[in-house]
Amino acid sequence: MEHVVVEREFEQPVTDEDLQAMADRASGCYENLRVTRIRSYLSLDRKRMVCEYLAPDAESVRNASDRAKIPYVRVWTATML
Amino acid sequence: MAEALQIRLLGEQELVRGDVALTLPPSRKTRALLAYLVLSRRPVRRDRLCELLWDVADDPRAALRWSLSKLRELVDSDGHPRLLADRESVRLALDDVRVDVFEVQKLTQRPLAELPTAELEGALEAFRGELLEGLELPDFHAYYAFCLSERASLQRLQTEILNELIARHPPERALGYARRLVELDPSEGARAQFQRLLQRSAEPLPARVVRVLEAAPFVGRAAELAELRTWLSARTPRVFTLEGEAGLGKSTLVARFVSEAEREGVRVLRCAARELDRGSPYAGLQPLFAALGVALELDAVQRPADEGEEQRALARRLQALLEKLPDCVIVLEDLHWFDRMSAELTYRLAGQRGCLVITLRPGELVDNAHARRCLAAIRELPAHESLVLAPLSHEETLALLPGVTDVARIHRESAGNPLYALELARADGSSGSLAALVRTRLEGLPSVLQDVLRWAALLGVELGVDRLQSLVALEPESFVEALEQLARLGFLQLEHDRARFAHEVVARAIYDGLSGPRRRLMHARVSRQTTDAAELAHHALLAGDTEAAVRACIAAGHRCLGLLASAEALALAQRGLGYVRSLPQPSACVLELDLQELSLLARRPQDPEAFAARLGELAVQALAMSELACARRGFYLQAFLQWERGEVVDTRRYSREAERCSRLSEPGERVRALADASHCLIALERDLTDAQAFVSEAEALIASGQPDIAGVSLCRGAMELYRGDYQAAEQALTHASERARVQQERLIEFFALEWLAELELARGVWTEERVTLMVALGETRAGSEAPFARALRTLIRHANGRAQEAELVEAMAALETADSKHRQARLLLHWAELLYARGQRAQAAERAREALALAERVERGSELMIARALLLQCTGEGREQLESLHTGSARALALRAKALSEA
Repeated sequence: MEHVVVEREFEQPVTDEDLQAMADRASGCYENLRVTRIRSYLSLDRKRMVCEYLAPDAESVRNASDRAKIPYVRVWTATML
Repeated sequence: MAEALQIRLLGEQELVRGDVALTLPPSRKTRALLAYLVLSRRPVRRDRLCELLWDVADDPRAALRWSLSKLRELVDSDGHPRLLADRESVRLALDDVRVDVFEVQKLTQRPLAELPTAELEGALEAFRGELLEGLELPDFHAYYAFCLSERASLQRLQTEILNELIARHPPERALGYARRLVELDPSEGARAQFQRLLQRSAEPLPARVVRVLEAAPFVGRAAELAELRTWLSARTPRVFTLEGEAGLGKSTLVARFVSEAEREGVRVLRCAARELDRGSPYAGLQPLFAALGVALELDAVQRPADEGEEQRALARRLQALLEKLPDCVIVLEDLHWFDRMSAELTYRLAGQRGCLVITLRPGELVDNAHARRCLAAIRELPAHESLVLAPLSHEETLALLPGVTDVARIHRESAGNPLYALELARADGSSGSLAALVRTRLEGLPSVLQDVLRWAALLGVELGVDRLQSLVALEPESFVEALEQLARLGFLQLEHDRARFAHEVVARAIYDGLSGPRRRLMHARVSRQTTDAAELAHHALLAGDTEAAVRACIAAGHRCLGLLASAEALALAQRGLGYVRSLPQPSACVLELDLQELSLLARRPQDPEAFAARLGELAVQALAMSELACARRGFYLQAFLQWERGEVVDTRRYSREAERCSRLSEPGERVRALADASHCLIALERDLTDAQAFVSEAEALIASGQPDIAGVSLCRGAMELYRGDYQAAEQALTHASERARVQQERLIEFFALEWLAELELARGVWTEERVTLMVALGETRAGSEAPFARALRTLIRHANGRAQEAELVEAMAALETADSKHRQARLLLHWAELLYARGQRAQAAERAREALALAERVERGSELMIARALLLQCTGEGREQLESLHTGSARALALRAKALSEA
C-alpha cells in the first residue's frame, strides 16, 4: 500500500457536521477502493486540510473523493522519510 | 353402415355405440383429450394438445400418440375413421355422432320460455352431473381453465332451465327442481326459494333406506395371499407387485396380509400416494421417512440442481433408509401416483431388505412415466413376483355377498369387480355407475354424516382425523360417533388418528358430486388452514384463489429446489406461470418475476436471450408501477443471465446495494446514483452483474422520462466492451461523450474517450486525434488524466514512428508520479504488445512484468490476465498462474470474444 496525501481547500470554513457528512459519504467508497484514512490536519481557519491515507495508489483516493464529492486540490503519493 | 356413436360428457364421461357402453381408457388424460377434441369442434394442433395435458418431463408427443391410438380404437368404426390426425393437427369428425352437450345447447338456442315443458325436462335429464365429472385435472392449467369455463357456461344453462321449470310447476313438483338448484348454486337466493317451496308444498322429504352390509368376507384372492405368505416363512428379500384396476381388491388383499404379518410380530410400514402429490418430491415415501425417523432435510443452500446432485441426494436418502430398515414389510400403495423422486428411490430400495408390496393400477400408469420406468426396472429383479388380480367369478361374487338375492344381476353388472358388487348390493336393487351408486347411498345418510363425508372427500383418500374435525362443525363426541357410524356403513376405515376411505373411487364419487360453488367454498376454507405448500396450491386453485395458488407454487418450488428436485421445481414454476397472467397488476408482474426466478434456479433456460428479454420487460413494468424491489430483482436476474452464465444467483447482496442507491433520492437523482454505483463497480472490475443491473435500471428510468445522463451510456458502453460487443460499445460510448460535452461533465467525457481509445487499440488502430482531445480535457483537473493522456499520445506516436522511446519513458514516468497504477499498467501492456509485434520479446516481457506487478497491487483481473498471457507468449512462463486466474475476468471475456470473431 502507498502513503497518499490529499490537500483540500474550502471556500467557507468547514464545520464538524460538514466533516462528519463527508466522512459518511466517503466510507462506502473507501471500503470499495481499499482506502484507509490514517490522519487529517485541519487549519485553524478551517479552510485547508491535509489528509493522509493508505491506498493501492493515489488514483484510488482521487476516485473515492470524486464519488463522495469531497473536493481536493492535489493528491500525491509520498515516501516516508 | 357404422353403428351410431354417442358421447356423453355431462356427468361421468360415457361412450355408447349402438346400445353398448364402451369401456373407456383408464388414463384420465386420454379421456380428457377426447373431451377436449369433442368440445373444440375443430382441428387442434398437436403441440397445443401436448402443452394442454402433459408435463415437459413426460415426453408429451409420445404420450399424445399413445392416447390418440387408444381413442382411435374407441371412436373409429370399420371403414369409418372419425379421429383424423396428421403430423400437425388432430380433429374429431362428429357429423354422425350424438354429443349430449351439443344436443342441450341446440335445444336451448330458442328462448327457454318458448320451449315445451317436456323438452325442457328432457334437456335437464341430459345433465347427469357436472360437465367432465372427475376430469378437471387442476395440475394442467390450460386444460383446467378450459374445463372450468365450459362448465360455467353449461351450469348457467342448467340454472336457467331449472328456474324455468320451477316457475312452471306447482310447489310439490317444483320442490325437486329447487333442490337441484340449491345443489348447483348454494346461494342465499336459491336456498330461500327452496325453503319457500318446502313450506308451501307441506310434503315431507322421502326418507331413504341405507342398507348396511356386514363386513365383506375375504374371497377370491387365496392364491395371491398364499404367494405373499411365502415371504413370511422364507424371509428373504422379495418384491411383490399387485396389479389391478380400481375396486378389484388390492387394498383388501394387502390388509389381510398385513394383519397376518403383524400377528407374527413383523413390523409393517405403509405409504399411500395421493394424486395431488405427484409433483412433490418424496411425497410418496414421506410416511416411510417419518416412521423411520429419517430426516428429509432441506439443503442449506438452494442452488440449481444438476442430475449428479440429484443422484447423490437420492443415494444419501437411500443409505439413510437402508440403515434404519429392519426385516419388515413395506407396503407402497398406488405406485401410479408416485412422484418422480419416490419412484426412483423405490426402485433402488426394491429387493434390498424385507418384503416390499407395491400396488398399482396398470391403466393409470400410462399417465406417469416415472412410475412406469420404476415398474419396468423392478420387473427385471430376480426377487420380483407379479400378482395380477382377476375379476371375481360368479361363485366368488356369491361368496362375497351372502344373503343377497340377485347376485346374478350384480355379478353381471359389476363384471366381477368386488367394490362395485358391494355397492350394487347396498343399493338394494338400483343400478347405475359405481359413482352414482355411492352418491345415492350418500344422499340416504343423515345430513351430519353427509357433511363429514364431503369434507373428508375434499381432503383426500386418507386424512387426519384432527384435520377433519377442524372443518366439521361438530362437538367432539358427536364427531367420533359420526366417524364410527361411517366406519360401520363401510365408507371409512379408522386407524389411530387417521381415517381412510374404503376406496379412492368412493372418495372421488363423493367429491365429484359436490356442486362447483360449494366445492370452491370448501377448498377456500381448507386452503386457509393448511400450511403445506403443495396442498395449499391444490386447494387454493380449486377454490378459485389464483393468487394464493401461485404463491403456493412458488413456495413449493423452492422447497423442491432444497430437495434437489429441479424438474419438480420447474414444473411448479411453469404451472404458476400458466395462472399468473390472469392476476391483476401489480401482483401479476411481481409474482411472474418470482416464478421466472424459480424457473431460472431450477434449470438454465433453453433460450437465454428470450428469457433475459422477458425479465427486462417485467422489470420495466415493475418500475412503472413503483414496485422498486421487484424491478431491481428483474434487472439483476437479467444481468445475471447475460453476464454470469452459470454462477450462483445471489439477489440479496444486490438488493442491498440497490437499496442504498434508491435511498439517496427521487427518480432523477436515482438515475445518477445508479450510474455512479455502476461506474464504481466497473472501475473496480468487480460485481459486473450488479453493474449491468444498475445500468439496466437507470436506462429504464430514462426510458420512462427521466433525464438522460451521460454516465449511464458510459457504463453501458464499458459493459458492452467487456462483453466483446465492440459495435454496441462504440455506439454507447460515443453517445456518452456527446451527452457529457453538452452537460459539461468533463470527467465523464474523458472516461468515455478513454474507453473509446481503448476500443481503437483493441482493434489495432493507433490514431491520436481523440487522444489530443483527452489531453485537453485532462489538463482541466489535477488528477492522473492529463499524464495518462499524454503518455498514451506518446505511445501512439511511438507506434507510428513519430516519437522516440526516450519520450515515451519520460511520459510514463510522469504518469507514475501521478500514481494511477491501473492506467499505468494498461499503457505498459499496450507498449508490450507493440514490442511483441515488433519481435522484441525480451523487452515486451519486461513491460508485461512491470504491468503485472502494478495490476497485482490494484487487483485488476483483466490486466493480470493480459499480462500473464503476454508473458506466456513471450517467455513461456506463467501458464499455471494464468489458468488459476478468475475465468470470469471481464477483459479476458472480451478478448476471448474478439479472438473468436477474428477466427
